[in-house]
Amino acid sequence: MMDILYTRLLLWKKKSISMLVWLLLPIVGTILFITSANAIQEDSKVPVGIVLEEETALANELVDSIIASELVFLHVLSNDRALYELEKHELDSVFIIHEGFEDAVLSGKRNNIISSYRTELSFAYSPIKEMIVSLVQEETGRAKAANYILAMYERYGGTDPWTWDEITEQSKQKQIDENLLNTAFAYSSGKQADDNPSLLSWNAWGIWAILSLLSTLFLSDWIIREKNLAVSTRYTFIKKSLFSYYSQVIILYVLLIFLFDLLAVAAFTIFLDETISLSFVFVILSFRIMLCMLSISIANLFQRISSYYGISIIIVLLLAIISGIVIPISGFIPQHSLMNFINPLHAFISGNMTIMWNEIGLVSITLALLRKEISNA
Amino acid sequence: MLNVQAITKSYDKNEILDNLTFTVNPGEIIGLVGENGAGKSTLLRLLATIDKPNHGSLTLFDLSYKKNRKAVRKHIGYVPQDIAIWEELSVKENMQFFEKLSFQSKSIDELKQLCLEMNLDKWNDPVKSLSGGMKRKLNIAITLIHSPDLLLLDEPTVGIDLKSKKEIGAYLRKLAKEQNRMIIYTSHDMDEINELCDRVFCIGNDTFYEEILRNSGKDVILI
Repeated sequence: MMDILYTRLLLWKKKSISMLVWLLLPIVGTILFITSANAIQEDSKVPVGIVLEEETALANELVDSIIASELVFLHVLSNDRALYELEKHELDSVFIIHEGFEDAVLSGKRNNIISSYRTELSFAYSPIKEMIVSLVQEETGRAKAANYILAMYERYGGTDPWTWDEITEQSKQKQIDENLLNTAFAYSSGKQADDNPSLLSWNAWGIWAILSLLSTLFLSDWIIREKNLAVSTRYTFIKKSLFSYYSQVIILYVLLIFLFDLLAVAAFTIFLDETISLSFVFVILSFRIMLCMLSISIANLFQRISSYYGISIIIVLLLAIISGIVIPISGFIPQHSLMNFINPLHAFISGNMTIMWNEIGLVSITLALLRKEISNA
Repeated sequence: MLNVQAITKSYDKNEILDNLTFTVNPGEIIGLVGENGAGKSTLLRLLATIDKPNHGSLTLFDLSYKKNRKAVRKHIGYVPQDIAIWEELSVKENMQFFEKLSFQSKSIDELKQLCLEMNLDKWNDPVKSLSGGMKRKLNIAITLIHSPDLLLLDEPTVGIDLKSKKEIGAYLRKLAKEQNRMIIYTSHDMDEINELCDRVFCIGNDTFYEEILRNSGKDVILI
């Protein structure tokens, strides 16, 4: 193995720049893609002004709820400043939470507790207004329910009456647990994302998987290059069998690329705040082995390198589409559909070990190497 | 000794070699001549174990090609017609690359000495900067790393200058005469064949080459 490593290092050293480009592409590409997408998303938030005439818990809770929305970039301003910026069209619209907001909500009143301003250019006014109204309605509904429950305690008595806070907390928990529309984003790390995911929830490992597929296919072109070179005739006169020689070279490629996969884990943890479990490292390893074996099996079918590159790009585009990584199409594809079954990226994107495609890769690469060995025997 | 007994080789229905029989003794240099497509390269590939004959038998030092293929290969050095070296590596790196995979280990000094014996002194130069003659010398030097007893060379001096040709010829002669190696050599250059070889095999029963070489005093055999 050390002899093979030595010979490969000699070759890798000579094409270190191109190899580094392909090895780093998945890491750099993913970080650039995710940070750019997030920046674009941040820039596309609608600037909205809010004026707080009272600083009560409910008013602040409403502000927090609006901030949590991915649609709105909220500015808390004074009345004059908010209206000035609205006139200059620096804000899309302005909402004023009037004094007495909390009392009104707690007493179940719903009229004239918030005012709003807009201009002829307030294109996002309606959806934002609806969002705020729905948030206020949530609070008033909760307050009304709490009032009603407390009134029932007063009328009928009880051994352990709940406080207002306990009722509202329980209500919020019920709202979370029994939400009519609950969207859960589970990333390939297996960890469920937060309850309020980004509108454009780009899956970093999904993007990485696609770029890794592309880079692995291009890094596997050595099999075609060496097949076409006259040096391959010398492999008949080496101390190892062709099966052993190529197996060891492939193992070295897997190890080399896996080192860069570990670098990706570190980079994504630092730059993208991804949290990776140890078990996910094994998921990456199984994915890496599958990618290398399939890429080399495909490369081995080609004589011309340009045809191989062309087919590689088509494979990457096809898998990027059917995986739903770039274009979210998961809603159109049933969980256990044939398309998921035949997609070699599916297991990894779902956070699982790649097993079936590893078996297919192992069989195809073994057959390819045995064919080489038999023809050389 | 290399013993070739009644070998036949055909691709589909196209018969390339028909019932060839000959022997080569240690220390002998055999020239292989014939027109293009006569089967010179095919014969070398059979002798090099890269291809298999349809019929007949081959033995090298009593090792059967059929039964001891791997062991036979340890005794064979094959210099293909195309230059089989890594263009992006230096002379030194090429020698090191193939030494690591070779049947026989050699020190860096031994590898360098091997190159120097062929007047290949550009040890650290990248191969792509070398002349055609230097590349041909390296092509042969790599083949000699495991000290093969039977050296098969497919037009090893094609397209190179006369000085390099002479140097390669002189070195091959030294290998045969001083180290008792068997050498089988194909070329279209009759002067080179005349000067270098002890016997000449005209492949394809071609009398054209026999007539050219008749006055050389060589043992010319139609096969």
